[in-house]
Amino acid sequence: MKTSVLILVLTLTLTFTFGMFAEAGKVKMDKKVGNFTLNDAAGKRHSLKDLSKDKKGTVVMFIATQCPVSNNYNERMVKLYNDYKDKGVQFIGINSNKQEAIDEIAEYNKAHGFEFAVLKDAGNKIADYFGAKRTPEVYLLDENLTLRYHGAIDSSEHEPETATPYLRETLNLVIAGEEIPDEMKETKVFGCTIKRVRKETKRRSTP
Amino acid sequence: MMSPFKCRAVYVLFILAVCTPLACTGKDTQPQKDASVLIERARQGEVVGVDEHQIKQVIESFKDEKVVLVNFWATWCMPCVEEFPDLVKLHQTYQSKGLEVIAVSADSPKSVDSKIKPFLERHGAQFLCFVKDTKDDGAFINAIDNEWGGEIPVTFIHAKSGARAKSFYGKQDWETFVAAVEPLLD
Repeated sequence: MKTSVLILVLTLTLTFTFGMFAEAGKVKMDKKVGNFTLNDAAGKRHSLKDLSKDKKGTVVMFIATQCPVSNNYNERMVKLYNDYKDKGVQFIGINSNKQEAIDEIAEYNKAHGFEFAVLKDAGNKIADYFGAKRTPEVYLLDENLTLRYHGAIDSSEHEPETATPYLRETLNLVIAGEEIPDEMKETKVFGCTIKRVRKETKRRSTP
Repeated sequence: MMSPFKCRAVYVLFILAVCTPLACTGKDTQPQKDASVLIERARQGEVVGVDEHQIKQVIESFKDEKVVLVNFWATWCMPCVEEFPDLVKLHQTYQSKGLEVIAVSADSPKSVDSKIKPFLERHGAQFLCFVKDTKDDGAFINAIDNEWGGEIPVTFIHAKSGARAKSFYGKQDWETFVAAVEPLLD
């Protein structure tokens, strides 16, 4: 009897503790994203729930210090932040690259004028949870933390002036409380692969 | 002055003269012509900018003639750089047996002279090299492969029939490439 109770308590504890990551890579479009907590480059802890409190939208951006594609979007990310910070939008940068240390991230944020929080995803658990593969790769959550858009910041890394501003277009809809048409919910993006701490167990190859 | 009837007859003859050769081929020859120009420029050592339509035309132009290995890479992508020597070796080993290797760089088209060409020269790459030049990265990715999310390196191998024989997402080793290519060659 005692053993059964102990097993039940242990199971419940484990479920509660790891429940959020039980379905790694299973963040789904139009579904609520679970809470997570990470440190910023100064060592301060932030949770998604706290950062997004009372916000109309939250943009989670997987970024890097050493990826030229991500770097090419620095100015665009800063401009997005400046354009939307007073419109109830929270921007959260996440660095999941194993080789990019906290000191390097802090220095990089300062050099490039990132005023939004950049959190270190040591062990790439949050990248796994979101299923993020590249930098830059963005996820737009609405006020209820429901995933509404996933993909590229815009349609062209090299031609920002003529690019289709995917993130802005969907952000405007989310702020206005409007539906995002299905064809706008996902876009694709070139980028650097997120360097993960553990080797992928399965290498994708088809057929 | 030409009568309206004569004028119409001349117009009809002109249209027939222009359109008949195209109709006889049974397909639009323009994409083939575009692709052959791009290929010729690449054979001369130029790293030509291509959009999603052009790179598809280039790949499809080898249908029924060659096995095609298309690799998407960039000078800033470390796994791509590590994989690149195997592509050079594959080309050297199998080009005489009917393998065409095509490399498409995701670097900026503005970096052809400063980054791409020096890299290719350093590695002795003698195969066709292009640089992605598109206004819509998503459209480029989807035109090549719907399953592909945009991560590089990625390699697609087409059989002589033009059918996709293999898709490799991520860095591969020499043995994997050989095992995929050899059975498709003559």
